[in-house]
Amino acid sequence: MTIELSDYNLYFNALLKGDRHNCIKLIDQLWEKKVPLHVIYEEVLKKALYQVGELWEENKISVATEHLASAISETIMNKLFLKLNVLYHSDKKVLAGCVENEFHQIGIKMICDMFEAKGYPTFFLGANTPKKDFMELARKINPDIIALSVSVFFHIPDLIKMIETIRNEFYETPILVGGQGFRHGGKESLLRFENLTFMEDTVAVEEYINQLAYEQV
Amino acid sequence: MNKSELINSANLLPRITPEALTEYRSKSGRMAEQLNEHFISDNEIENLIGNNNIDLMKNNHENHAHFMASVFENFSAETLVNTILWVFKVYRSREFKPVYWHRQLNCWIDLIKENIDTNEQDGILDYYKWMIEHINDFTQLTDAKEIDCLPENR
Repeated sequence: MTIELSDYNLYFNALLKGDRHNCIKLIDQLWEKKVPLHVIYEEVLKKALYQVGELWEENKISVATEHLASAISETIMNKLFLKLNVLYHSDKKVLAGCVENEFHQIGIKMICDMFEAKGYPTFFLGANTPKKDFMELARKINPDIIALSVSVFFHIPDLIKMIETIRNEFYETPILVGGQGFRHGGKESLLRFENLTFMEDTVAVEEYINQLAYEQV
Repeated sequence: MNKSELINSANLLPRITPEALTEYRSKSGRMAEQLNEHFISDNEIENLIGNNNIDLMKNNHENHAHFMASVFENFSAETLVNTILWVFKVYRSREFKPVYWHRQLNCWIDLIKENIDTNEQDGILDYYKWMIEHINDFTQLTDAKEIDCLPENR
């Protein structure tokens, strides 16, 4: 299922104007049409945020407009989350967060919501999680999957230190990594880690979750 | 040079030793501040970075230091080239002039020579000399409106 360009354009224009109510209404309409969550995330919310980012790069919009678009996107995600009607049918727990000093949490929040939608209990720690606190919680909940995100390239060394720390205690727990921080390259720095999967986008995450369900059957 | 040639050329840069990286990381914050002081004291700074862009410039200097440290730690020629192209695209659209990078990178060289242990300087300086050598390439590539700052195999 894909999104009609006209629907996307309506959403994008409302987003640029900061029209939160219209954005919510348009997404609600897609939800009512049974458009899957990952499609709404990938083809509307994420696509629009990337386009907003490009406009900022070209100095066509301000940082304020960009932040407004992010805030509206998070509002929509919170509203969609309440509609998920989650039934936990997996006992696999997912722990997800951003590395220290990383303040962009929308991507990793999308990943968490997608796991929730498929019945996996998630623990979403959001932006800028200190490594020590992340590990403390990890010990407490003993996750089956760990997901990490970086949006800025120069946080990749922090991500790698985080993965090394995780691997000292969680030797085989699958780790999912993604984010805009890898936009200009840098994925090769992850190759040395076993049982780590780089997620290009939410479509890859959807496939990963479906594969998990298949393996559990 | 086109983008592929720049990546090939960047691949010849030396890998930075852990000692040099530690030196750079520990001193780069202070060096970025010194760089800011240098530019702010210039009465004709608008000719370099346009109007009302001081905060943006400071932000660029701070990010530059973080970015270079990351490149030294996890070298990727592709990331280096793509990110510089992105920086040129973003800052030029805000009236930063190519001459600003000439000045900025030469200042970094002076600061590195002043602040970093002499035994650890050479490899780091090679990166800065390489960037200065290719300012015209980055300028020409970002003159094209649709410059692709993304990895080739995405």
